[in-house]
Amino acid sequence: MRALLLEDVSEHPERYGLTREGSEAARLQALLELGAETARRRIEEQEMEAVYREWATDSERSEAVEELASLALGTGGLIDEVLGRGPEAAPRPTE
Amino acid sequence: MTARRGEVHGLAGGDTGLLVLTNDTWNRAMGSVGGVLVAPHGDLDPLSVELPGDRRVALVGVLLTIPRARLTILEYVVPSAQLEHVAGGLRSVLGHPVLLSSPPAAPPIPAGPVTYPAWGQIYYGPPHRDESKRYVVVSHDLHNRTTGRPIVVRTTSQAKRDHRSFPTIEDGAAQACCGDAAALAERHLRCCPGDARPIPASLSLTDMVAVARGMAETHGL
Repeated sequence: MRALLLEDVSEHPERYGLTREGSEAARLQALLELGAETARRRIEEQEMEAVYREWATDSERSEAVEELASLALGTGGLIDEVLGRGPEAAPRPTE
Repeated sequence: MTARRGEVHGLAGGDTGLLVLTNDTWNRAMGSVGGVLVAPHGDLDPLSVELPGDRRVALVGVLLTIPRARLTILEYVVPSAQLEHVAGGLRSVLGHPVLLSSPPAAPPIPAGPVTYPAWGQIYYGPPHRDESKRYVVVSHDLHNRTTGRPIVVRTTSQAKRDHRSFPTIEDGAAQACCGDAAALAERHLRCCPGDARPIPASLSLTDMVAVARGMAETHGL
């Protein structure tokens, strides 16, 4: 497997984000680093998703999001104000 | 409704939409998404970004957090160059160029009296069921003064795991929900002289940097 991988890396270094420069050992090292980086990113993303899911079930947070959305989307809310609709759309007085 | 970063989804009622900015892990895991308002005209917002092939513009300063259930159909997918313009505009409104520099600095304060919700200050939001949530202002003061619509992030004392997207602030006493950042009309914050203020009433520069890093992660800035 290792030999096949090294052969593929030697013949098609661009597939692995590598160049044709350098020794086989250097290529293998670069490949290992790429693998480690990919694994690190995957672990980080899994951790991120676990944290997000924990917060996603927080009722206080859901309530706050609903509140912010209502203040934006409701009649006379933020979006109406931005678009110049409704009583709150009057221009801000200059200081 | 599933939503991905860079997509514009309709908002119930009217010709407005939401350009989703939150990262796709967030969009997959949470019941809400964050992004900026897409609207027919941008003459009220100097930071609007045109969307090629769509008569509407993305209003960079109008950041929203919207439950996914309130999104309607996928209307448009924003080209990556435009998406980067929007992200860059938002970074600017949030003062990230100075805040995330080394050493970090607070965004400049415009001259004159502070008669607006100010950057780094914490205010109570509208009362709801006998309580008011706390919001810290994260947009810079020129934006806050000019528009009257500061961008805020909710803070909570309900402790969970510390994470870049929900950083611990106030010496461990609270966490900031960076992915739920949104613009609020000034009138919805209790920021008039004499209004009750939370304790502490402001965040340190270190905490504001943590919130900026959190938003950079959640909103792909």
